[in-house]
Amino acid sequence: MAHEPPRPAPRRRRLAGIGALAAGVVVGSVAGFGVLGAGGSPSAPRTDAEIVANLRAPSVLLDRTAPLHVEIDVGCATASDELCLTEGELFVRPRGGGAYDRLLMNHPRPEVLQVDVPATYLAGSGLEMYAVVASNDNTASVMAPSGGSETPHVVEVATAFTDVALAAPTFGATRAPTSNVYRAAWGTGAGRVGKTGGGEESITGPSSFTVTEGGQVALFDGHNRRVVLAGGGPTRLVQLPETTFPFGDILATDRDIYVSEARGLEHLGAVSRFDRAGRLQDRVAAPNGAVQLAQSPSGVAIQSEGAWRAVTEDGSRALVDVTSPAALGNAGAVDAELPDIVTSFTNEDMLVARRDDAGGLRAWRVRTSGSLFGGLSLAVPLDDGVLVVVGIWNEDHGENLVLRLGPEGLRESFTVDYAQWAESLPDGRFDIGPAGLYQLRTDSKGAEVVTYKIGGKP
Amino acid sequence: MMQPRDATALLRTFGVGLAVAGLGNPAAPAGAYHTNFQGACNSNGPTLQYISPGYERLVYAIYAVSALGDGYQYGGGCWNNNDIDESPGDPQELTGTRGEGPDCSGLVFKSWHLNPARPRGEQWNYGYMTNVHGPYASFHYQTPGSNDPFFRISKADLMTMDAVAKNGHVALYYGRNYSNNRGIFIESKGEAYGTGMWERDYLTDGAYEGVRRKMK
Repeated sequence: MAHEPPRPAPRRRRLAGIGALAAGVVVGSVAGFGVLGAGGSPSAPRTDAEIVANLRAPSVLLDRTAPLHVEIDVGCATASDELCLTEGELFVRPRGGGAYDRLLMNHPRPEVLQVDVPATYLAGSGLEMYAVVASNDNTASVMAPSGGSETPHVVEVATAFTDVALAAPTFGATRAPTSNVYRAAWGTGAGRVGKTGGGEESITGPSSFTVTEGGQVALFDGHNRRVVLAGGGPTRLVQLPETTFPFGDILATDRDIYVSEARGLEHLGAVSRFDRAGRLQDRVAAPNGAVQLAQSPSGVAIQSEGAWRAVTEDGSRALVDVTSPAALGNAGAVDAELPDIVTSFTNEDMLVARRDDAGGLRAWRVRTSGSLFGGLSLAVPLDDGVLVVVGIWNEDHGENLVLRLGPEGLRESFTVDYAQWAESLPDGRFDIGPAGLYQLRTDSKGAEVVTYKIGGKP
Repeated sequence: MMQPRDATALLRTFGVGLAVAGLGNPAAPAGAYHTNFQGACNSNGPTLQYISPGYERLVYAIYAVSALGDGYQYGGGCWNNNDIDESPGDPQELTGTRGEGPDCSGLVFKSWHLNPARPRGEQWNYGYMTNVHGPYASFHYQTPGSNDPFFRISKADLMTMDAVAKNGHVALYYGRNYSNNRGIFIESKGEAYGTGMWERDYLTDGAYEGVRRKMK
């Protein structure tokens, strides 16, 4: 029986937990100077204690009847290098608003704060929470996530889930690409794509790519400071400013190209918008760690510490400053839309949940035998299910596993080569488009974007 | 027990370092290399450091975090722990530029408190500004000999401050992001990126092997 080709959902790359170091797992936050939640300048003299707090909590739960265990790794030191003790409070409320309740956290060990959130908070669709960790002398405190009540960590409860048990993988039986959209040798000239590294350095290449709804590929060739537009006509190069940091995400619409850059301590990240001719339209600073870009019905958003912030407002293509949302009214405010896809991993399982029209989550619990799950590269809505690309590995092999999941379970699975000779951004290696699944691959000779037809049998 | 002074100093650097988690180094102005940062470094030998068994990984982690934000120097091994790359824009893969920061294998050597001239289980402390890289390149970490102070392990058994290594790169394992299952690594990545803490797919990459420092 012939299969109808799957219908990609509207272009909307929005995935919880993908990004630099995401909230809920590692939130590196330092507050000094007695200002709650403020980041201390690294070059300024430190006057008070410094705290680091790393929140560890799942994003998806399948069982709302069990208490939710939350832990925070904490470290605290004074300006004179004295050890400071900490106390922690977890503020929690059912999802949907209302006042936060305060739960005192306890120290099972000096470097850990913990608390069990009663299951009563999970009676609805989930809960929101943030923690405040303070030094005992009250000279410093931090919030985790750093946005506190404005950008709390969200734990959602899936309303239904499907178990998927995968057979042991046969490494080495990867699927060959269906077509090649773009191929270029390493280099700097026209028709080439850049890499850096060698010797003892890890080698990095194009950091990410995206597929437009029209099927054009936009490749962020950061080391050559340009964007490559390929497919649907002659290949074009869009030159970016020399100051562009060579690693980040890219998002292309039919009118604009958005590039996000990770930056360092002295400089915030940046988001730039170019027209399709490569002319810089505007450029704004972005919160630290903001790497991932996504397009939603309300505009373009970036992810920072687990929260999405709109960088374009409704009806406008111009970028807005997202570094001081309080001073700018709604500009740069946290995007209230929740991610389409939410994922969590345990040691054995991968949980993938898709939001339905009513706001509930349909989840899949995927287990694999004979291998371990590696990093997640893509999870997008597809038809009435999801398409997931996740690494699988054992001691000798590593590949990417492509899973097409539907309400009834596994619809299709195959593996593709890891193909990362020159490293790219983990979020930037796969996308979906008119030709199916697209992959950015590199080898010792160059980089390419290939496609795989999807829609076959499991 | 570990000396209290050691613990507090290391915790301070731990906190500062994590503030830069997930970030790359700032883009460097062109032509600003040859700062001769290493001219301010020293050659002070390592000092024997007593670390209570069980605290080694914490000490290694805090030491490695001290290098975050302090740049990358091919073949290098000294930094001043102020979270600023004092030698931005150095050309790649040149040891003679004398810039700030370790390279990938130099970071592992100093973080692991190694001293190849002395018994393997002992812990040796180098100051941040001690300019030492150690004798091991990434290839050596990937393929340890029986006399080396580290040995290969399964990547499934990685614990904080074990390492993953291939011929070309070595990175220290810190933990895992439970949302996307990627490993979190502390590594000196290259001149453009400096030293940082990033999520990487090294577990899936079959070229990488797990490595662990020998301890008493």
